[in-house]
Amino acid sequence: MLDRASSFAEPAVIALLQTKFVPLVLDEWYEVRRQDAAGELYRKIVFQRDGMSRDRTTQGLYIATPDGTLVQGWNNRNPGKLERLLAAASSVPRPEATAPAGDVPANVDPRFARTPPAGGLVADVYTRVLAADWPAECSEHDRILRAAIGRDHLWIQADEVSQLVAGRWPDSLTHRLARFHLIDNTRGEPPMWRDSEVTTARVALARRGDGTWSITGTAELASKAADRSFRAQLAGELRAHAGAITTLDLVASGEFRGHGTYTQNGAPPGPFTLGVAFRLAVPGAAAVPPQGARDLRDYLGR
Amino acid sequence: MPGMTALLLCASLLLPQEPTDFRALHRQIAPAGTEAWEQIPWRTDLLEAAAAARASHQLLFLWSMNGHPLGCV
Repeated sequence: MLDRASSFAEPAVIALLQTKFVPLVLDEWYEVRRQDAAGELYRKIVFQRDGMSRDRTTQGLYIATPDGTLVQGWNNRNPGKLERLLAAASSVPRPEATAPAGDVPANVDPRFARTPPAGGLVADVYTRVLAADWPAECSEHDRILRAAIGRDHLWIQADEVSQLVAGRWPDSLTHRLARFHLIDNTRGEPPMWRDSEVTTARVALARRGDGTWSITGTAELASKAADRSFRAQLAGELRAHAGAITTLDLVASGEFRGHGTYTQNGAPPGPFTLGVAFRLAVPGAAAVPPQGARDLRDYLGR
Repeated sequence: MPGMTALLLCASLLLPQEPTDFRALHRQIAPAGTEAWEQIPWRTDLLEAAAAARASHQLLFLWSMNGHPLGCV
């Protein structure tokens, strides 16, 4: 989130990546584990970086040839360095193809393949801190963090879509939404809620005179260690046409307390108001799986 | 604690207590348009990106994080 709003919002960086490179984003959690051609190429690239070892994170920025020869690799948030290294790499002659262009190898490690549920839906999820008792001192870094929008995707399965079309909000969807999406991901990778940390989660649909449904609900979540909680109210609107969901606009907001190991930097000092908004994704546009889908069975409740 | 009082007042105004209130809150949370970083034609498949780079004689630029850079980080 910080990098999206800083390094990758710089016009010069955007122009270089648009015209001189093939830009790529990956979640290293999958790439270091998958035993297939993509995983092999990923590991080939990242482990050429100076100082790398198998016990270090492979998070970082890499410039490489298509066959995996590393040109530059680094891991810090200096936008000036990013622009400088991109400009330098783009000024050298483009690499010659080392293998004929052909079909992409089809072998994919199924343990780490993530595709949206067949016949289901994907909703974009946005998270923002709406009100907090921020300290008066505010650096540029703080300003970006305070205004940051967290992003994720919610997967809705085919049988759940059928229930929604029939005017019933599935309990499985309520539970997934509460555990994996009512989180504060505005500053980094957040902890999800465990099953036992969902104190209350209720969502209901009410038919309106115009044939649409209003959505109302509540959720109360509290960590076992009592260091993190979220009490949210939910409201929204659902529309269906010809057996398909056409609108799913939903907001959850309320008092959030606490933070996680990777979200404490720049966190509000006390309780704050967190808002989470959901809306249907443009079909085909949401290639990024939900963060909670690393454990796919747990995420889908299967 | 004036700051906390203001926080609580703000919080009470920001809860979607009536179903018809949610639209304004939704607009406040979800971005209305495209953000700058979205102008970059990010790919999300390494092998497809490598094939594209090979075909265009360009270099790959890889941004890797624990958590997807375009998602929940």
